[in-house]
Amino acid sequence: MSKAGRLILTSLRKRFRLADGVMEAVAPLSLTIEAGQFVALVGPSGCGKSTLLRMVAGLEQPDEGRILLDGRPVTGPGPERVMLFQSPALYPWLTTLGNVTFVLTKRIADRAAREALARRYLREVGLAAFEAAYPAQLSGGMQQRVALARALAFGPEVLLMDEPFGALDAQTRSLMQELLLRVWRENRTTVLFVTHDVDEAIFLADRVLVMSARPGRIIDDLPVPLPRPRSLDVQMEADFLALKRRVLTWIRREIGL
Amino acid sequence: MRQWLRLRRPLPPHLATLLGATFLGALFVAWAAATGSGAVNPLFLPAPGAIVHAAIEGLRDGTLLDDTRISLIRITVGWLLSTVAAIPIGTLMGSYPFFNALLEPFVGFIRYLPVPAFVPLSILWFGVDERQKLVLLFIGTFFQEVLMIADNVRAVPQPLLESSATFGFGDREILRRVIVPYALPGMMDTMRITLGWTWTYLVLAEEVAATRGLGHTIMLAQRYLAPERILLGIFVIGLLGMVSDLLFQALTRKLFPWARGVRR
Repeated sequence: MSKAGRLILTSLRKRFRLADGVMEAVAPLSLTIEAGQFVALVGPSGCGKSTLLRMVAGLEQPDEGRILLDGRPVTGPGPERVMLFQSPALYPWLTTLGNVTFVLTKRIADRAAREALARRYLREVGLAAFEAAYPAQLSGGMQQRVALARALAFGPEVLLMDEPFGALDAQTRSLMQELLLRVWRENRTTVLFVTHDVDEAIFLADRVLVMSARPGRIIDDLPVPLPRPRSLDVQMEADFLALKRRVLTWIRREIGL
Repeated sequence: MRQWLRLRRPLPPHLATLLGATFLGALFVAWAAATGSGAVNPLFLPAPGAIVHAAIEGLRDGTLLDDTRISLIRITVGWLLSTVAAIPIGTLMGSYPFFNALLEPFVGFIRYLPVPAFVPLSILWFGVDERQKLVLLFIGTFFQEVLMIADNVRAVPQPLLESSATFGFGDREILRRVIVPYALPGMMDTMRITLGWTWTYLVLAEEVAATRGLGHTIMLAQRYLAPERILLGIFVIGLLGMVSDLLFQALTRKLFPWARGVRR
């Protein structure tokens, strides 16, 4: 796969007009994310991390500054930047297989090729046996796996993930994290992953960005040198814990503890 | 007994059917007893037998089927006109704040007007022919239906639209290929409920200058002091309404098997 997916954010700023004045969500913020990098964004709730992600997705327009993806300015949503939400956002009238092939119509003209690719990724997330099921027949964790398979099969340059495992129980979440890393290892797309779970951020990412309380700025930029592939046991190692302590200290300070 | 009176605890299906039938049966027995014993003046409440008799008579001289047929046609056409208009307009209102801002104040205003208030205007505009009756049915149905369709469309979750946009679907494509399919089962519920409302305006529409129809027969029976024919008309309307409701529910289940457990 070619190395596309380099993101450059320059002096990005976002304010929201509220009933009682203006709320600054994202302070002027600059950031470069290399192609194929897995970047996690953590910070206290309401710090503007989701807003930042939505601006990269093109779902919100920045008030100032600009976003470049491989040198092209981002002006709206586009298929090179797919977003995964906390809710699976599946099409309830389509089967598991149909949910994947429906979006693939944007990429692949041949129906058989679409189905083959969709099946490959459904197998990857362990849902091969459920390709004919409708979303309402699947558990929340299975639905999110379909959404993950759909996004990965689509193969965007950048995958934007907004607390995608936040609504899942602890066991399912761990499984999803390992699954995501396994599939990501093969296609190495650029990932920007928003979470408030510090363990999750460090476990998944090459680099953890810590955001301040509102208005959001980046107050720390930590490389995560833990070797890959990682297993869940890494979360008990000293290097991991040192990183975790550092991030948590920042966050506690930001929420005023 | 206590086990059947738990909050939201489902009943065994046979028991549910039995309960509904028991209540209806008890009402019928009470009715038959009240009229059969002579405790109630048959002018106010005729005996069940008198209604059966009126039904047989109506079937024999053809008026019952004729009235039913003409009323069914009016209901169907009036409701179809309303639905054909409400689906596209409601979809636009629920999808684009522009169209909602444009139309909502107008619809909201008309919606609160009592339909009988339109009877004089409808006669002034359309005379006493079939169009006047359809217009009343339309007014009674459309202004409610269009807002409910708009709500069905608003029930499509925002992440589904945003997710589709990031996969490269444009606005029009999302409207056609995501919003409409998602909202269809909800729209079917709306159509079923508003069809019931069209039925409720039938008597009003057939009150003025009609020569046939179930509503007309009911009004006529009042004039001739024939309460058994009033009740017969009411029963036929209730029965047809109930049947159409059940058919609609069955059709929705058949067409949209995926919609069980999906918010709509």
